[in-house]
Amino acid sequence: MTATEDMLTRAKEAILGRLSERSIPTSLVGLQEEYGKVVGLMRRTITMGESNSCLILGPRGTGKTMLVRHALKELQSEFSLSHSIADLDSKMEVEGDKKEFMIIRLNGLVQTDDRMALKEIMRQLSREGEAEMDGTNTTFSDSLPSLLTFLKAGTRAQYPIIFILDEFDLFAQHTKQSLLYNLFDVAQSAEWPIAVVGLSCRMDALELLEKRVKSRFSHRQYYTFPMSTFKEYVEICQNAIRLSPSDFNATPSTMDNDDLNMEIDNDTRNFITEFNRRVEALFEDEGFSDVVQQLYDFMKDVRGLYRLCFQPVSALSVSHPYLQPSQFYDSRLQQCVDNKTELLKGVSLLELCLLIAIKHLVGREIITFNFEMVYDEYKEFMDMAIARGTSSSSIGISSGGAMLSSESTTLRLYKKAVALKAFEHLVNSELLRPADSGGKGPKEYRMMRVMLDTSQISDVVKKHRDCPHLVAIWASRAY
Amino acid sequence: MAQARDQLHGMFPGRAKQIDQILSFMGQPCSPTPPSLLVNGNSSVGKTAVVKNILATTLGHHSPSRYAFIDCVECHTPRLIFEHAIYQFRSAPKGTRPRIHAPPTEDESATHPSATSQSSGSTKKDTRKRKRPASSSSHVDTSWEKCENVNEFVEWCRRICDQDDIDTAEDQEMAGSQEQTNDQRIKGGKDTRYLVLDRAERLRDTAPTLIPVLMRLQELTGRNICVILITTIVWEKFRSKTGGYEPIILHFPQYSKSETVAILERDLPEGEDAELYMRFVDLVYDVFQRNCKDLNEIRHLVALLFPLYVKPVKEGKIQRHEGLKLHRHIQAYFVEAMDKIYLREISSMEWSDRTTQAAGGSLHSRTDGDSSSSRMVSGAPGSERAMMTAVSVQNVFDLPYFTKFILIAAFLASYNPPRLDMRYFAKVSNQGGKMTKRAKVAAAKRHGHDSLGSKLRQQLLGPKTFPIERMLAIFYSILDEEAEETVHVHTQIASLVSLRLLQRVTPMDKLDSIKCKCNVSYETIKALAKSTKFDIDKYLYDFT
Repeated sequence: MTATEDMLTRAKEAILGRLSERSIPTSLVGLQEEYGKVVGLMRRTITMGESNSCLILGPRGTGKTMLVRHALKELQSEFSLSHSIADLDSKMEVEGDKKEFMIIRLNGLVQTDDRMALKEIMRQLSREGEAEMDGTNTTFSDSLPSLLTFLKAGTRAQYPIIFILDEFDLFAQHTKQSLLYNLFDVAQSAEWPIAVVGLSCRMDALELLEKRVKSRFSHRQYYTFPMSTFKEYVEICQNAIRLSPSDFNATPSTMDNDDLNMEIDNDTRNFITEFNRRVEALFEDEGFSDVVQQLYDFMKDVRGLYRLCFQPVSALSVSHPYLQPSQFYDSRLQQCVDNKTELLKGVSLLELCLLIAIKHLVGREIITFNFEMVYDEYKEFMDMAIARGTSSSSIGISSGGAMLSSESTTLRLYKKAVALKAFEHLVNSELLRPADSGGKGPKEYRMMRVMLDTSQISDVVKKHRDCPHLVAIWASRAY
Repeated sequence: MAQARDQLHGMFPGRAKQIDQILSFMGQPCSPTPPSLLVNGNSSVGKTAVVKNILATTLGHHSPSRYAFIDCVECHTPRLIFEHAIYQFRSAPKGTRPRIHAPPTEDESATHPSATSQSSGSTKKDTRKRKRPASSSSHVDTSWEKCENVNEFVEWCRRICDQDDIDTAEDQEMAGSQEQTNDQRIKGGKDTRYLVLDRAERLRDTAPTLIPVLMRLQELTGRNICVILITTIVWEKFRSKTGGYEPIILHFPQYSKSETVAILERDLPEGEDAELYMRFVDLVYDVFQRNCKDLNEIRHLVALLFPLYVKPVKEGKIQRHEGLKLHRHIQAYFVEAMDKIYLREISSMEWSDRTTQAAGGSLHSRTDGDSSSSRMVSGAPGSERAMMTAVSVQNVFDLPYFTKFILIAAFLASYNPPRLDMRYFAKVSNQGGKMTKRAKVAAAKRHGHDSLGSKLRQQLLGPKTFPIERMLAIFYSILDEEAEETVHVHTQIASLVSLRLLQRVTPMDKLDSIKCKCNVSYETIKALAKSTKFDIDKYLYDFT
């Protein structure tokens, strides 16, 4: 059983496409009901010319966008394949290769004000419908109706338009909400078949609407929630990293062909079976399912697992064509570690000492501190350490600040300026944050707060590569 | 690919794992990539260099560049970022020669300006033009395009990604059916574009929505774009309030000792003894790693100090193998380097000038034969230091006599609690007069060392504001002779404020009850008090 380069490339592309959410997952899990409603709503707009508006709300990563993409894809294939079917709605005249409906996609992150959104609508309309528009109207309230009337005049038939408003809550923050007002107004007055679908991760998105806007909204809301059972979570993830014959189809656009399986030769089919078998075995692996379970328990976020899968999948090669559980352990270690601790592992001993001093200050409920206090605490420790060092072993610590190399217990009290530089390095990596915004006065005295937990500091002391015993004891000393 | 990989491994010792990871994420030129990567790690662990070199070696030969490299310090507004990115995507990558015939796409995009940047009226015209085959091919140089907002940038990204096979253009449904174009692109083998943002922590200051947009640029454009952020801070600091797509995090760990030494080994100066050099590198690392792990700093120090280290060997004073002797010889310089070079008190040029001069001087005196060599070698930096402090003291403290006392009075007013003014400064000696040192320590014991372990004493908290009248009272009290008229004193106060030695906290238009703060450090004021023969420690409360 060998996998050819070509097969692997295709497999990787298909899986990575799903992981990066560029292609849609093969099946919906746990969202069928909402899906049916959304598709039905859009379909009614297209076939019957009914105007609709709805909101899809749900936390991030629960499949709002995916749901809409799925729905649009289905509608697109349904209506662009149905050219020849005669018994369509009489309103819809089939003209050449034009689609029977238009999709306008807007995203609150990109179209940051209504003017920009309008431009984008015009652009997408003109591209899709090839409509001729004169842009003489510059104010927003003028140009939207004129846009619609013009479209009506230019094309004889009314094209249903589906508006997808991603990050809906951001649109609601535009001044006067005029875009939303106009869209909902058109939808309500039933003069133009449009469907307005808003997506938002804010559950209170409806409350953001002004009264006049709200009253024009249909108050249809669909919710997507994170999967309720662990089984569903696993199913979604398995779907993403499993291969299906269509992934190997040479022409992905003809995915719906029935004779699809015929095009795949036996080797590929074997590869797919074997690959999927391995994937199932992977989910039965104890270590891996621990990882998945932990992710599920922490955040129920599919994207968390997707991120985890990226590396093992992209590392697939002809010599290692299947996913191994061990790869996921590495990847997990990398994605799920506490990054602050990782960052801190690389700091110098002096910076570590300053952090320990800060820990002691915080332990005494001095929450905001400045460099002078930290240095004073550090100095106290060093004085003590040096005194002890000189009494117990004369070589260990040299009092005059002279250095002895290759002696693991050498500690040295650094000058204030050197320590300040180390302190500023900590500030730069934003482990310390100014407590007040005013940047007045000498910087040694500026009050700071630490952005770490005391346990994180103790953790770093344990993990730090060359931390002398004495410092470790100092760090663990409690107040 | 394998060749590029080996080459990169050779270039960056200790970064093999990270290079492999990035390369595997990149995969084939057209394979899907993660939407965004975050490369983080401490400063100077090779983040920027590794990413830049990977992109240059694997994608450098494509002519409209496959990647754009942007420094967020340089491009501090969204607009600058967008325009620089567009420009870089449309021109040949730096350091490679542009292809002789410009790809057809260049003319294409040059002939039709950003549709969305125009008023909505011109949209129509532009789209018309788009369908016409580009006839004029006069533009070979890429022009600087305007791009003011995210919307236009997303549009540009789509256009840039479609550049190469625009002649097969079915890009009419670009925005309409992303899924279809996705499939087409994979089929058409459109290559991934990489947008690298160095020092990405600055992005947070630009616009609140910029980071979420960049994180999901792939989804928004429907094209294969990978955004790579390079930063020294952790991802948590980037998260916005409403959340968004999370990047894949790649951490670059700090170099270990052997890796650092391996990197430094490449800097071996020409014609020098490798063994001696390596011994020196080892020494420098051991000495400095405790307070500084920054590779660049260590490199800098090695480059500066090595000539001094080998000097006695070259002059034949010390044999190569006498490690301990050499060590003792260089040690004095180490302490010096820590103070001066590491803290950038003087420039390295200045420093090397001075040390060579000093060393030359000691050499001369040795030929004269009036002192032993060991004393001089360690003595040279010592005298150097004396000179330096003299210079700096002269620069800062060349103040008039009375002004010095004003500054001292300000310092006392800033750091002493007002309630003890009576005890310190009252001329009448009713309670035994000024506090003796002993009494002061006792007072400190009573007040300072409370449950907070004396960490909240004024010395550590920094200067407090004080009314100017209090400072004047202290000034007249500590001054032994009769003071001048107050108008002169006030002029001096004003000049101290303008020198920023005093900081005025009340607004300038408020003329009475002025409040100030003393901006001078304890060390400075001590030196200043010494120059006026004033024992400041006698008057300071709870100082160590």
